[in-house]
Amino acid sequence: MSLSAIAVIVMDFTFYYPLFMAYLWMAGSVYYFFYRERVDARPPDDPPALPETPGISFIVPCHNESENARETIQSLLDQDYPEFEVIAINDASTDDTGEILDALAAEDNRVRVIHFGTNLGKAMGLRSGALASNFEFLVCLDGDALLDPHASKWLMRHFIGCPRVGAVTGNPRVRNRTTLLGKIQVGEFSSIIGLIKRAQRIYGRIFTVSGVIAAFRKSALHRVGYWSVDMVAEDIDISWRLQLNHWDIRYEPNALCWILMPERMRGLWRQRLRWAQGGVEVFTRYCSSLLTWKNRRMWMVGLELIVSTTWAYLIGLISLLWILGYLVPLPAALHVETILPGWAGVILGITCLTQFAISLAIDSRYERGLARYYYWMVWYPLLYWMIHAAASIAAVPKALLRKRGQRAIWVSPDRGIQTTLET
Amino acid sequence: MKPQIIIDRPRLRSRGTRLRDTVLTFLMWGVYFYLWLPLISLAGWLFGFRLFYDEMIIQGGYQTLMQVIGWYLLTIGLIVGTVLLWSYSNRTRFRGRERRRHSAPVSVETTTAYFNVTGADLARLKAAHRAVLVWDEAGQLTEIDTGHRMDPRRKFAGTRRRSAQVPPLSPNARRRPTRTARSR
Repeated sequence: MSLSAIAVIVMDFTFYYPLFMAYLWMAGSVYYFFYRERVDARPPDDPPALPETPGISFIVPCHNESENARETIQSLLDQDYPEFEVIAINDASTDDTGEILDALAAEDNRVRVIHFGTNLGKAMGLRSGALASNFEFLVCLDGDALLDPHASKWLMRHFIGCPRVGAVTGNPRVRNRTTLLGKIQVGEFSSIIGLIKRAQRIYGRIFTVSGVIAAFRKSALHRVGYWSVDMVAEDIDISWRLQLNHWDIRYEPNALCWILMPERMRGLWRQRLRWAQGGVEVFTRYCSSLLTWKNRRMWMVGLELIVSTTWAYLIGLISLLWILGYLVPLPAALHVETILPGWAGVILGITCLTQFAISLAIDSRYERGLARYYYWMVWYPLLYWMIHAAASIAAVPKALLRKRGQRAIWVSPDRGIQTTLET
Repeated sequence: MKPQIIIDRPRLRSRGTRLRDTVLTFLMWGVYFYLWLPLISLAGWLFGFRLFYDEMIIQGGYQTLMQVIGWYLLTIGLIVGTVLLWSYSNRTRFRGRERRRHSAPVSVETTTAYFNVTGADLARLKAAHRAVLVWDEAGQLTEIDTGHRMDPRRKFAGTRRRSAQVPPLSPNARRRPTRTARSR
């Protein structure tokens, strides 16, 4: 095969891959909406009555959460669920998180607090919570998130009568929308994360639960050895291990969880790099397990990761050649005339706007007034595909060079501008 | 007081920043319309029919469009068809058929064996409203303190670190007896 033929294939792949993935996600999520979501036809604040209500242990790992811990724990105490306990883990916070949690435990006997003296990381916090828990079902929530009062019932309905279900992930909604980055992420969580989870539920397995809100069956966690303490993305890791152990993971869009996202590029980049690195780490650790017929339903998830990482490197290469073409003469086969093809550009634009429209139409069921974010969603190709590409390129060497067994510990994330500018 | 769920406080940003974001997003919409330049040109040609006829029919401009659209629609059809067929086959094969039996809840015995703690320590931890846990480098629980006056930061003063080298935890990880302290 000649160099120019390879160049044509590479160019076609880099352009058509995101385009056709968009259609795959749209097709899967529209199907999911009509056959799963619309069938329920209940608003999020009217969950179905459960035949039984087994107790829940909420686990909330906290590291320097003095700004948010009180309202996070309060959102759990306000749950419309008969029996639960809240286990907050103070992971060596250097602010007054520990004191706040102790005060909350003194005020309400459903709150229990575990302190660590050294920063041991989120996974160790979750393990400790599981050890101390009194109930079979664990709902894990980040220390800066707010859980909708009805979310517990929506999450629990999947476990009751479905012994195959090992975990259920909720629907994270972005709270902070003051900046452009915040507004874009509102659209991103609908048009990408929501659509992907729905589509993945249709074609088999999901890539990951949302680390910020996920419910687990303790016996399933026990069978796979709980959370790994040496993976940078413990949520991706536990999702893969549960599914490789043939547990089902469900997505519950009615289980709303309000989260704080980075509102600065630096914070966003760090977060996306961690996500990308986590995916590569998990793939390299478990890829050998994928190569069995028993785990064939995970093949699509693995393939998606390989193809998207390859795409990231190829788009990086093409961009480099395109820029180089302006600086030095390149062989004809390597010369990139333009990165915006003619008629294909029309299709790309229409596809993106259709995807936004579908995602907002599906998600407006869970949040009123979402349509106003359509204006800001035009940034999606830049935010998602470009940052995703750059983060994947940077993540592969980081993941491959990271020592196995090195404990992943807390680094306080960017939680938006609202607190820093107010003080 | 109920927390405010949606945080959108434009006043936290200067008027210039808000204007910049709105203008940039408006320009981004312009990029979308730029992508549609061939379509807009097509509409223009339609208004001046003669030019449209020259460009699209005589010069063969429509062939590129037909090629792209034909291949494109075929692929989208294949994707959508595969998703629908796959979902339908899964629904017919597995709906309402549960082959897995209910798993027993995790017992105290399996928990104590896995985490290498005694039954008494576990019971004390489960009943405690406040506890301090100490895990060693190998990921083994070495101390459960349910005392009420303990300051975890004082206890571990000088031992905080950025990261530690530990093997991944497993049920077969190195065991150490758990040291317990009821109060200090």
